[in-house]
Amino acid sequence: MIVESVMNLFSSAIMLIFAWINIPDAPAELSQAVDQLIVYMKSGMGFLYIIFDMNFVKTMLPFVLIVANFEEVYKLVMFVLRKIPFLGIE
Amino acid sequence: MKKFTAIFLICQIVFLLAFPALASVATPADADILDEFEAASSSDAQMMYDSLMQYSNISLMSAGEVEDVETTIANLSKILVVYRYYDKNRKLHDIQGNLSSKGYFSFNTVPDDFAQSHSLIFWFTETRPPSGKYTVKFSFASNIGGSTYTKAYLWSSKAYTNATQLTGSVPMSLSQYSGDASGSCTIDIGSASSMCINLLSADMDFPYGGYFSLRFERLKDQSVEVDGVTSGGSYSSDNAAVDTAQSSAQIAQNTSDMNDTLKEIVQTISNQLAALWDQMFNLMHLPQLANDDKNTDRIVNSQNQSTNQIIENQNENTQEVTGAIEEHGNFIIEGLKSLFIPSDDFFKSYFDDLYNWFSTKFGFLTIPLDIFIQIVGVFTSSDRVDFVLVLPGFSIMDEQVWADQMFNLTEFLDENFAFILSPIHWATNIALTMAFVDLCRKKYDEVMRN
Repeated sequence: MIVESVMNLFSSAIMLIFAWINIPDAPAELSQAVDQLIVYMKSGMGFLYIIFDMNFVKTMLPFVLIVANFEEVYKLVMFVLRKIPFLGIE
Repeated sequence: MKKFTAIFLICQIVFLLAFPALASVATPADADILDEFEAASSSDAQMMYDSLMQYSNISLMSAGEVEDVETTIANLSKILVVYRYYDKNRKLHDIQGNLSSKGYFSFNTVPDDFAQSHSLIFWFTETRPPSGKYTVKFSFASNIGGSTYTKAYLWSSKAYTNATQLTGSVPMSLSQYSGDASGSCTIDIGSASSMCINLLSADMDFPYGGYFSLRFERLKDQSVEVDGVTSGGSYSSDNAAVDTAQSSAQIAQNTSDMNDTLKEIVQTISNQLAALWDQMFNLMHLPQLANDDKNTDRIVNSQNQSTNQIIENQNENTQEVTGAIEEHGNFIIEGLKSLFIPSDDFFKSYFDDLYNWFSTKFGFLTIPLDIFIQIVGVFTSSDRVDFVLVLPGFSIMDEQVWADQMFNLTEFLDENFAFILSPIHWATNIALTMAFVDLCRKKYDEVMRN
């Protein structure tokens, strides 16, 4: 309830701040072109499904991201740990 | 011839008159005969008959000379009579029986091993008179007749504790006629243990029996000399002390035996009374006990039911209390969870609402964000996507040259080349794994080796 209240308060603040903005929508042709692009991308993903075992790929993807961005992940973890007082990590 | 006949008759008469005189004198040979009797009485007697005949002092009399003795024994049935005989191996055996109250006995059955008679023995230990000097007389009237007795004597013994016994005999005068016999002697009856009268005869054929009578006449002058003394000697103060001691010991033993017997009797009576009491108690209290048992069963059943009811109530109460505690605990936990943790669909609805609001407010500026979200969705979607080749349609001047053509390569491969797809996936998995390992190695070098 507390978290929900905080997030609702945050969204309410955002809406209040950006309430005055009213930018028009994109043209319909642009939206159709984007949708067609997405369809082609899905078709391309179908090609990847033929070559790769996508279940294996989805399993490995988090590990690849963590290893590839090890420094950032390490800094994030240490930042969180430093916030815990009783661990005493400087 | 008449002279010769007269001389012969005179010699014969003289010879016959000399026999009683010889028979009335006890000779040293008599002692030997008595010893042989004792040996025979013990166990293995040897040939005695010849010696008895050698030393016999037979006195043949007419019927009027056999004295008819009037008994002084109150109970003749206490006298034991023994018929002693030889078997073919010259060993002695006994058959025995008690006299009747009138002093009669009879041995009718011939033993299988019978060869020759030896003697008749009359044991009167239990019927003897008190100590003192007596004239002992006996008479025996045979119911068969024809037997000849070679000797009569009174035999006695004195037993001592842990010592050999003394034995002795006193010869008795013997008168007989055709199996009937009588005899007498004077004797000093001391402290003998057992006494008997023996009549020796080798021709007592079965069946054999008769009437026996025994008489004791106490001598008025106890100082006179008598024919003999029973074994153990005359009765004296020593005998009195010993007898008193023995009697005292016997009385003590009897008292002890009686005490034990009385204890056993009392114990038996006590046990029987206890058993009787138990039976009476059960008999009297059986209905009450039955009612008590029924009441006890009812009480026990009632208590069991009450106990079960209480246990069930306790279980129900416990369950209710446990449920209430669990409900309160769950309420608290759920309250804390709802306090700090949002519901599952909160974030989805929250971000959807926020995204829709931003799409409405920011218009075309949200197109890149839409594209990014859709691309991520395509990649992370769990649905399998088929690879479809599309050949768009073509038309000229509003005239369609060909329509859209579509070809599903995934279905084609699954139907015709499924055996190839699995090895391809296997190989690509290995390649990806190797690439990941290589990435890890490079990252390790980059981080650890700067």
